[in-house]
Amino acid sequence: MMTRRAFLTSGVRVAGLAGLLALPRTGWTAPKEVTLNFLTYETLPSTKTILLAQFREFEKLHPGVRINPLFTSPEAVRKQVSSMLQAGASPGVVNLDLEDALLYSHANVLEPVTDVVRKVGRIPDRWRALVKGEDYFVPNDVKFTYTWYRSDLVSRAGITPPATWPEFRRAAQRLTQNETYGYVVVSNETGDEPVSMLFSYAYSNGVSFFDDEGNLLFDHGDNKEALAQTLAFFKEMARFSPPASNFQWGDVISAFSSGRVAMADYIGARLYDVVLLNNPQLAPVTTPMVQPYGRIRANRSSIEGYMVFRGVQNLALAKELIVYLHSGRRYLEYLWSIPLHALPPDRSVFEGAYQGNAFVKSHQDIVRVIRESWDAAHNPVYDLSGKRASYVRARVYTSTVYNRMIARVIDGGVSPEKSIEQAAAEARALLRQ
Amino acid sequence: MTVAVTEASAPGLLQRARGVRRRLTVELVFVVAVGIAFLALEVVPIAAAIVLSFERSGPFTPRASWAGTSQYAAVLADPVFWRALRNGATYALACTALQLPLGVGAALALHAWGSTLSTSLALLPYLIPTVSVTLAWSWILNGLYGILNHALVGLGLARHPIFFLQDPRWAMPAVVAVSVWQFTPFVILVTLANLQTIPSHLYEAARIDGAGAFGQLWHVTLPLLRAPILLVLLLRSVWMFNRFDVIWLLTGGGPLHATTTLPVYAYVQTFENGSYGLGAAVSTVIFLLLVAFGVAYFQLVRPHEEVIRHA
Repeated sequence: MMTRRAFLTSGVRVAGLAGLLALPRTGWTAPKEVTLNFLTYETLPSTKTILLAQFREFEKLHPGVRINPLFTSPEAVRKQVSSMLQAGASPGVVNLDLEDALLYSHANVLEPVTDVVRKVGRIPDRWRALVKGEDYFVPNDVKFTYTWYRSDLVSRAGITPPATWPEFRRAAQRLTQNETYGYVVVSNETGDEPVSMLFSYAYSNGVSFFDDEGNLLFDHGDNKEALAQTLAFFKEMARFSPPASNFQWGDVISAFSSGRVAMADYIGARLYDVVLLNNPQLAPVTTPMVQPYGRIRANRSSIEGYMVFRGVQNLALAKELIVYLHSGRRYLEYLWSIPLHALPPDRSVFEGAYQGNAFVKSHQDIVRVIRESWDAAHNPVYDLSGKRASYVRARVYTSTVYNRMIARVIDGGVSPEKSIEQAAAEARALLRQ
Repeated sequence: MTVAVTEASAPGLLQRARGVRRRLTVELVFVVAVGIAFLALEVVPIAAAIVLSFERSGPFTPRASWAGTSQYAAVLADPVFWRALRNGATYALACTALQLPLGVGAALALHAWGSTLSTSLALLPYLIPTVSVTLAWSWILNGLYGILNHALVGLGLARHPIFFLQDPRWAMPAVVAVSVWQFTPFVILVTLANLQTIPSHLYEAARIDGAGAFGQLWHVTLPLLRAPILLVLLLRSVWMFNRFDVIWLLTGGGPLHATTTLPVYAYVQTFENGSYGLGAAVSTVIFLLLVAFGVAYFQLVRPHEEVIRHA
């Protein structure tokens, strides 16, 4: 029979052995072995399959290299990055938005990737995170905001697809019936959905939020007036929308694909892809149109791309991986895995090799809307007419300041002007922190 | 005679002394191990969070800087903080007030008439991951295609679908209802376990004294359940006040802060607004509030005395 002493001694030995085995592997691996973390929010199964296959190829070409991917939501990627930075670990290669690159480069946690941008080539200046002459972001794909509508309901209502705000308002009203809502106005207080939509419409009403020097513009003069009009327009459109104070992108898609909403904005073509998968009967009548405009033709663009965090185990290899994913057929396969949603930032690629895909060929209505939206697209870090990427714009844009500004008007009954003034005060307080 | 006894007991005493020393050593090892774990897992993180609450830091801040008490001032000056405090108290109070009678009632029924299957079914909601529960309930409560609205409208109980999670009047009751559904089984579990420890002779004595079913419940069962119920009251209040997942996943704290509680507010400050300092300040306030609540509870209710009284 085992004595207590023997039991305790063997227990301590087992625990010690287990502890040794659980030690971080880096302490035991040969110096040649490299693990590259790769965080992305493109989680569509088709995209995941393509990327994982490309990682395996890359690992084969570089023995001793292991890519450690994490596919999750944008919020989860950002949270993971925050946690890793706080713990002093490098997140590695991360696929996020242009705004994020500006924020992290400001915090001095990114490696410059100017050489990679040069190698990848033909990136328009308006989509670069250029800070003090260095690039901190390799744009991977671009998306534009446009509107989807049910062509059967629109023609049944005897109207044409709306092009301007007044037409849009009338269409939403006509399409709002017992069982169907005309449109969706999202007003959650933390997600990026309402802010994305607000910016798209505010740009099309001529609103500039900050100048290149970081001075606040949206709370005075023409900008305030145009922004107040935009918020008032949202408030009016909310009359034809289901209450959507907790809606996220997925809920917007569900509302449309369930047939309960006749028109919805989306960034890119994912809404159509989901309708095709979940309710194929609706796909033939799910039609894109250029987002209705206020004073000028403009919309918000979303730029997704790679950034490399300081402390990455092998910087040269991390950069090589980005170039590898960006090259030739491999890159096109990635873009086609989310067809007509993730578009190449280089327009010549979009008009050239990208058109060779069967889905792209058969959906020329979406291609037409993309062409019309391309030059009118603006990213929040450059704003409507900025020349330089701005940390200040990115900081306020990614906070909840604009969310609350919208929610106060839509759900709280506060006047647009008052809500703008409050948002301006909150933005200043945020920037002082 | 005396010498003989002493000689005979000396080795025994020595052995006993060695045994005591060994036991003390083992006990000391365990106490030190627990002490280190407590220090590493409780004291250090709490201290780190308190220090963080005096710093200006975040994922987009180049380096942390001393903020003094300014972040506490900013938090206390924010009306959303006070709203979140009120909401948290309402949520915790409503959830606990509903969970306790429902849980104790269900446990009494299961104890009297329940089978293994019915007991397992009653405990099931507590075993399902919160993410799955909230996803299912957000579909059930959905105003566009939710089954509950379909039933309400179909049965003529509502003229139009109710947007439970988006309507400021309904959001809090909906969140409370989902929480009660998921967490009441904990009360059932604790009560059921305690019901099974009540000696049957107490019921026999009560019957001999002429007590009926209600008399037995009132004079035997409930007094003996007092101690566990008081403990559950404390645990459920603290856990519900600290609850984040159900609220965040169902409403995100909206509409217009109608369901924002302090943990949600702390999360938004930390991760949505990128300010670790503000988030840590809110967390420290939550910690202090709960410590104060715990101390007051133990002073007023004295649950440990209840346990001793009924032991």
